[in-house]
Amino acid sequence: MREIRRLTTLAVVSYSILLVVSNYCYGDAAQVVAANDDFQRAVRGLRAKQLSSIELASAVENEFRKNSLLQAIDRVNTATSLLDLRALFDALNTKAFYSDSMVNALTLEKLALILKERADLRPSEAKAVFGALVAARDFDRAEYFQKLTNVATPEPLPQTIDATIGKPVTTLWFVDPSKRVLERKSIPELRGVHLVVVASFDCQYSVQALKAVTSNDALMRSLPSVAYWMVPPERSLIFSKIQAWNSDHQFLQFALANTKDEWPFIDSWDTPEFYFLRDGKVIDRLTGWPRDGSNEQKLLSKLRELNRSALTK
Amino acid sequence: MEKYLAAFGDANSAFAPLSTEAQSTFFQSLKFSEKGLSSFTYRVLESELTPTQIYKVLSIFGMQHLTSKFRLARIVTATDAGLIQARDQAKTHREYDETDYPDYACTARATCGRSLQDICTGNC
Repeated sequence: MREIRRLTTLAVVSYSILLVVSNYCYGDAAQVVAANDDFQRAVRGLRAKQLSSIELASAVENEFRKNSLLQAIDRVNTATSLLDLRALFDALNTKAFYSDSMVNALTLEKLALILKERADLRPSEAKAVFGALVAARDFDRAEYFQKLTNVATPEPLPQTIDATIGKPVTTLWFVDPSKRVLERKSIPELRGVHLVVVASFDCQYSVQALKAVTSNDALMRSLPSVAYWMVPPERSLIFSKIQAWNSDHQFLQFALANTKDEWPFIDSWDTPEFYFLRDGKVIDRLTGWPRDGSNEQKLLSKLRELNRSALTK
Repeated sequence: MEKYLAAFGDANSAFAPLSTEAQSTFFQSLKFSEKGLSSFTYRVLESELTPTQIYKVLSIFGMQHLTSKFRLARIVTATDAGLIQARDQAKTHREYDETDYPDYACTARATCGRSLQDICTGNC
């Protein structure tokens, strides 16, 4: 009798646990909204930890899973409440932002299209999806989504041409000097010494750094023969800014990075950041560009050191 | 900093139109350097305030010139519309001079790192 009572209690407890877990994973709006709130709080905490962009993307992904949001997205269907959809969109948008992955961008697009079907897609949400597709470098899909949702952008996307052959390893999107065209090309293997600069035209410190370099003859003369100046994968693509810069600075031409994983030695993607490479390995770096110009001399020393290292085996 | 903290609880302050949760989110996002406010979240301001109200909040930090970047804020009055349009009228330099820094936060001295719904200011 005691054994039956014990088994009955065990069954009731197990069922209750199962009910709580399933409700949390796939359950009602309040649970999904709460899960997103917890997730967003966790991400804010991660942002304060000074992680590299790769570590941050991975930590955000873990938090997303930990809060059972992945299962909740898998369960989205026509019956999913608007409140749930919105919370899931918010969570996925955050995850997509820090990863810039195609998979996340496409799932975000899927959620946005469900919201659109229900005539409830907000301009900020449409803008986020468009940006996620741009950052994932699916320009065709971004353009299609823009037409579908009339999302307002500062300027139309340029025409894109993929000139890569086979399975390219490292590529850049080069800006046509006169037409609104971006052309994706492979770059040669990094042998010898190189300078790779990550800078964003959305970041004033990047622009300050670029202006300082171009107006300093000693710096310009010290640049290695091969230097890549690139804009990181980001949600805004102001083609005209890059084209205008390139038109004014013949010897410092900017291109767009394709995806982060093509540049495994770049762990931060903060801007501006200078990477000094020898045979594809980072031997030094310089981050930031304070207004007092203190990094100008540091950059010059590091460039000279890089050039010296080219002469030694 | 204490001055800002005091303003959060004041019913007549520029923060009063924000919900309690939004005030808390905004407050937690504030980062300061020795020069002043170096980054903050724009999301809660844009979703809950009009450009005029945003202007009042940003004025506390001397950042009112950023109001025109809040393009998705709810326009109610002609002043609101004017504050957003100010951005286009200010376009006098080459395109790359018009630095815009939404979705970035101040991560180190004079360095911007991507951060959803934050703005990296000139005080980084």
